[in-house]
Amino acid sequence: MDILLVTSGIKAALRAAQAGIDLYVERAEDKAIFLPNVRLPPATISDEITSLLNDKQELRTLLPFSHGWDNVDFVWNSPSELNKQDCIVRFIEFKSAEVLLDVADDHKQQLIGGRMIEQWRQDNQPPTAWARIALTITDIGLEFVSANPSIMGENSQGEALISAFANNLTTLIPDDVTDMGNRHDFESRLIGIFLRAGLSTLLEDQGTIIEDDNVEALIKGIIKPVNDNLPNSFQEQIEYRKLTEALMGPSAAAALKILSSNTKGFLGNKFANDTALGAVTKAILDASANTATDDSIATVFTKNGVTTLFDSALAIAIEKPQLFIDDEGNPKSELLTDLFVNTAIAVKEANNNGFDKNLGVSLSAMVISTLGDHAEFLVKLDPDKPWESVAVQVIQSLTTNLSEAIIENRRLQLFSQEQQFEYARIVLQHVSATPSMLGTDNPEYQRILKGIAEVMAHDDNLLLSNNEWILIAATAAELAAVNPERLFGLDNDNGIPDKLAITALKSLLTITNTALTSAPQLPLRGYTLSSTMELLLKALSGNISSVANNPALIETYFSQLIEKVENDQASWGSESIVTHVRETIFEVVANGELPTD
Amino acid sequence: MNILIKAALIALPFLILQGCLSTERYEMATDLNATDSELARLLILANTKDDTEEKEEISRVAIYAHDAASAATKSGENKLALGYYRIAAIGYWRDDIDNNNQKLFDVVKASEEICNKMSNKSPDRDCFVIRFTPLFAALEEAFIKAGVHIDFATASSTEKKNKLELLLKIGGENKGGVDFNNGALSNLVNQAAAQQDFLKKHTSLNEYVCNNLNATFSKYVSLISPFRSKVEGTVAENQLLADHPFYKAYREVPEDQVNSKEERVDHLISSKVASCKKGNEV
Repeated sequence: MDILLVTSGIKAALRAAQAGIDLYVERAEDKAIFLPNVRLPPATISDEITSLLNDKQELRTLLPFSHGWDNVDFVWNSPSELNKQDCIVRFIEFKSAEVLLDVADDHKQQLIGGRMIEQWRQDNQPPTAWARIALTITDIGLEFVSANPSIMGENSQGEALISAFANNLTTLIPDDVTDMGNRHDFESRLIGIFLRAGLSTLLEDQGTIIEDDNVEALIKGIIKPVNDNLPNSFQEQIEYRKLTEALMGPSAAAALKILSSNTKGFLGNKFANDTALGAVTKAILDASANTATDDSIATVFTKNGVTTLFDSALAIAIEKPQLFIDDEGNPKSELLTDLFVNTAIAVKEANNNGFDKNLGVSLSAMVISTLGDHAEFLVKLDPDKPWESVAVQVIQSLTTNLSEAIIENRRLQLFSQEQQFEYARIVLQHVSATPSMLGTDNPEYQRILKGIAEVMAHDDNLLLSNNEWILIAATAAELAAVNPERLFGLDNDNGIPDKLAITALKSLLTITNTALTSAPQLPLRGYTLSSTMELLLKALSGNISSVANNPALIETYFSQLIEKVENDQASWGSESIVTHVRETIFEVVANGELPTD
Repeated sequence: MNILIKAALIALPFLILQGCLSTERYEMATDLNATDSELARLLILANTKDDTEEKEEISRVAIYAHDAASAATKSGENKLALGYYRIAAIGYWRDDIDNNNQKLFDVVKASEEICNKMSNKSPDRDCFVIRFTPLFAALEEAFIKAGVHIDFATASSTEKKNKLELLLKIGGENKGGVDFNNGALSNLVNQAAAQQDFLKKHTSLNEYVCNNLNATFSKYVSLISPFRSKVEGTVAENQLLADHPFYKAYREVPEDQVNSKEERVDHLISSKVASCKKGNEV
């Protein structure tokens, strides 16, 4: 990355924060203030009579008031004590007879005794708060231009993005400073982070298209909920700020990328839906809340972990907003919150047994993404079980099974973390092609994961590479998905032996291991073995009439084959072995006819 | 060296500097807000009691704001300083402590320099209120000293003479000098007239000034009217009107244009301060 770009980013973030503080200070300086009226001596009875005669002109010429009435001053001045007493009596009669209008207002005015005064005259008012922030955003844009002029030409995407942010600021900035509370600089920081992420996205791919409506949705759906949820407690704020500021940049960039790629295609959603984005954002915030508790995702996962989960859910919200909006158009975030929280619990439990947290996060994000893809099918299959609930169960099951498999299985321990993840992913991906197999009542993927791992555990001599095992797992999952329970099922009452594929593969592996112990030069490793295993799995997915009745047939077949290979090594290379298996194994499992040549 | 570390090192001094400045400004603004609110609370509370006893709590707020204004000025936070000076000025006005009068003038002097320095960027309300506070304070004190209506039936001639002299301090002509109350109402009317173009553009401040001018002038008429009434048709009446030119002008408002005290007061004040004329608001 260009050093100028890095420093631009830092300066931009600082400027955004500074703008927020400037805004707060300006609001404090310019807020309306109470200015008290000049105090006057209390009203006397003469004042009261004057007031009455000013209100009721007809009394001015009538006795006893007429004697003291000054028609130029419009003041009643008592001509004598006697007249004064008469006037007071008449005054009281009038006041008693009528309900004094607006007495409450008068009383209120007297109590308040002043008025609120604004700071500025009309033509001298500085730019409004949001305009000032808009100017800051423009400044941030300019900062990027100096570092990378190519993104900011006339009618460029960079210019459009800056404009879009400025246009949507009213969503974030309240009219009244008191509404800002302790969030005075927070929203500016968020905008800065988001804008920087947006501009960086444009830099990475200049073909990116970010529509104004998408920026609006992102501000309403992500920045605003994050801003509004800032807790009051200072201690909580520290945690929250750390979390959200770490979360926002990468997630903003991810969301913008997804939106951009979605916009490009004819069939993609043209615009993001802020309600759906808001539901996801609320869910991640709720799940991150109470960071002091052990089950919060912010406690269990690293910031990168939380971001990964957030991004996976945001991607679904962008592509399938309907999943996060109820029939009345309100955001649905409770189930997603539960999903995040239960993910944290599952991973934490697995972690207690030595399972790596990062692997847990990657798996969970993958499950969320995969099940989100199939959400509509899952709901159709069982309306009472939303996809989030299924996802929780799959995550729990995957982390538990994979964790146990890794702990028990030394061969699987030799996998890199990425390969362990790929092993789980490939199984789930193939199984999810048949969504009905994802329910917990039908945990085929669990049996495949454990089953292949069980076979793998017999690979003490590393006859297959890690990637070859992953390919075998993929084939097994693909075939198992279309042949439920046949290959990895237990307690079958359909005439098919339990754990058919596991037994057969283990048998093959054991025979091969034994042969290689006495004759290590035989071409039975790697390609030969993995291709043979794949062919065996395919054969077991076809007509298995004979094997079903006689499972030992497999062992016999491979023992004979290896004997032939040992006895005539010149004729049997890896290719000829694989060809032979391809030509014969299907007949063997179907009819029990062992090759004679 | 890693490029990100380099970048961070480049930005670090900037970051630290920004951080310090921001925190101080934020804290000062928060304090200004709180001090403002406290003053408003005390002023409204005092209004309900309607007395002129010394108000220590208001005085303490004023003294605190005065100190804070000086500190803000030293920090170069001129606008914040003026906010504090405005609080101090109003506080010294309404604390009813005579010994603080000089402090009010100190505040006006200190803030005048800042307002002038800020020129057309100076905060409209704060600079105006600070400049006008001594005028409000002087007028208010003159009214408090003049007190309620005199009872002509029982008052001695000395009492009547003294009362008339006090009324002169409200409505008489300002002849300069050092008397704090000399021509208080005239001063306020003249100063408001001088600012009428500004007030036309500042609705709330204009309403405040005009309402207070009307209310004080109306009260002044009520207080002076009995004195004139007692000497109506004599040379003494002419002298009294000559000594009270605004009152004289009030009485000369054409009768066909007004039919109540409120209308006559309004007519006079609007003729002196154009921004107070109805329909003049921008």
